[in-house]
Amino acid sequence: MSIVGMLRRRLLFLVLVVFGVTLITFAVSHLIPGDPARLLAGDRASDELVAHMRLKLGLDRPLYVQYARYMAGLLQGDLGTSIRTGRPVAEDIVAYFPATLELVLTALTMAVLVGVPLGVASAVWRNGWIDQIARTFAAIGISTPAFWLGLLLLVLFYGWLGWFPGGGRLPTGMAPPPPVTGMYVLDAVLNLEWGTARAALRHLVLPAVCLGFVHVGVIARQIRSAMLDQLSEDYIRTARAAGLSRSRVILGHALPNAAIPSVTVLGLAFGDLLYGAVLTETIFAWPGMGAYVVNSIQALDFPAVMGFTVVVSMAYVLVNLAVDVTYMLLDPRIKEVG
Amino acid sequence: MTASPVLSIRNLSLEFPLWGGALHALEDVTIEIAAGEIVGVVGESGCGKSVTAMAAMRLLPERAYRVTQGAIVMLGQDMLTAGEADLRALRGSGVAMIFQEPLTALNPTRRIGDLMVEVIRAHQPIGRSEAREKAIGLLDSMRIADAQAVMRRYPFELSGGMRQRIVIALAFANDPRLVIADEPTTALDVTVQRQVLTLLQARARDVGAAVLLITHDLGVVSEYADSVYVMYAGKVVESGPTDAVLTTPRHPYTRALLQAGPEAVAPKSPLAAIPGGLPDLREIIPGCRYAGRCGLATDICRGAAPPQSQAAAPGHTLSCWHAEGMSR
Repeated sequence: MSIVGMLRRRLLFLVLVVFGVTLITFAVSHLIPGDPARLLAGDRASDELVAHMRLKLGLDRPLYVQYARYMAGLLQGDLGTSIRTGRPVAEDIVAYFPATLELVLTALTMAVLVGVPLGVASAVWRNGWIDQIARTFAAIGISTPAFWLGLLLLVLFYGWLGWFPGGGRLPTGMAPPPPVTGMYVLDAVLNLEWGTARAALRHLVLPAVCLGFVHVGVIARQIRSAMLDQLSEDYIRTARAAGLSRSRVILGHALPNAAIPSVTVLGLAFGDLLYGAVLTETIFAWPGMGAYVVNSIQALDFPAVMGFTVVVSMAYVLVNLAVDVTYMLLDPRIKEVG
Repeated sequence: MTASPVLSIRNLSLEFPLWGGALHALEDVTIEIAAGEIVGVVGESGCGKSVTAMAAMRLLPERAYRVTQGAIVMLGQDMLTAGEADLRALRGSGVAMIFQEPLTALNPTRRIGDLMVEVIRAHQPIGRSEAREKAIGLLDSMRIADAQAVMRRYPFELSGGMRQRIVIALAFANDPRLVIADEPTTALDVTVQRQVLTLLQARARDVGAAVLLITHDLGVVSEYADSVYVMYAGKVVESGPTDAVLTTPRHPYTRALLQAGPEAVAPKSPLAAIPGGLPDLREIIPGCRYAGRCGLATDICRGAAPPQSQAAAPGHTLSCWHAEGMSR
């Protein structure tokens, strides 16, 4: 199977996923009790006003009409209008999603940079002290609740040590860099605003650590077991018998092969981080999708919740598509098999 | 025999520590290989042939075994005390190894050419393009057609016989003086086996490399080896020039092995199998290790280990209490 063929199939799959996701979220959000029109109009509003709101929001129509309208809009990139903010949902997402993406990508990068070396070291010195520490660390990481870790980080590094800021994306009063991607650090670097980049990075550290901590352990464990598998393979013995150095054998031969199954874990981690960000953003006053979607849920703001779900699902599918492409690039055997 | 052997294993005893004991894998094994000589080591599965080879290369997992006596000297290097740097310098350049499974012996995600270039450059201070030239030359010498194209292939795109020829080419990459081949053709089709072994032999003769050929196939030994060591349950029971050992075998085990071959019996009659199984190597065996399966065994066999004795042909030695009674 060629890469092009795979891409075509997967993009078709993406359409199906979006369709399924909207159908389910639409059904669920309209089946739960609660009247957004009533909520929006306020407790003391007259019945006429509520009826008027319902008409205005199109909530008087049958469900399938509402859904058809929504889908028609979606095809044109229109995610509807937020009941709560009164702005187009697409605009809100453009405003808030980059902050979340920046947080998630930083957390993921950090988890890889710490988790992979940890996993390799654990496998190479199996059952040695570094392996014991890494395994303990992984167990702690997996069993630590994010809200607790977030508070701990805040108390320690913001409250006591004062090393990092306590929340937000930039110090108050500092202007964000001209938007290119919406991710502050990247935008600041692109505009050569080094001071802003530094400040934005400092703000990223604690929330990214909080969000990515679990995945350090997950990635380390995955790499460890994949490395142990590879290190017991015959080709490793061949490489050693050929007199290649220990580091060449481990990093040049075993690690690339161990990375192949581990890429899948990264794709899954990405989806996990997107949803995990909702909580982390609340703790660190991070103005991303998380805070937005929490507020939207409380306001029964269906279009906003659906918009979030659609965007996150698409991001998830796209990342896993990237995972599969990476697979093909890493493993020459897959083209033949697939 | 020449003055300094390329590999000298002397009185080597090796065990694998187990829970509450040990598996005595090798007992007093002595094997000597002269420069340019092809030496066969035969025996059934579990007799210690591969362990001997792996121990000689120091490729056994470091903490998993204990050497209780003896010495291994390879190209003047004491292998039991060699450091990581000494081993790296020796492996692949002075001594190369060919393994049983060509299907898994090559890194699946590495192109043949890249692997060969890496191995060549690990031992020779030459550039990438020069190393490529050398690699293509090596593939040519293994009669691999269109070596240029094979350089770009991945292992999974090639047949087993092709891969094993590449493994052999790789073994000769840095002009080794000794090649250890551990059942190099066991995993291959019978028709390909002979072809691969003939190439290995020719290549070794060309460059004057010695070969330690580990096999369970006496036919292979008789065709390719100059001398042979017959191993049983971790001991060398008989050794000497191939002709002498195979035409006038003195040890009951060697005789039984020769009779167990399909060519030794008439067509359609049952094969002559050796009754019984290997002794439990976790126990200390005071007598001859073959005594339990040997038709000639007497009380002395079970009571004490047989001494080494010389047979008629020069270099032909064996360990058997009944050596005298058999020399007819």
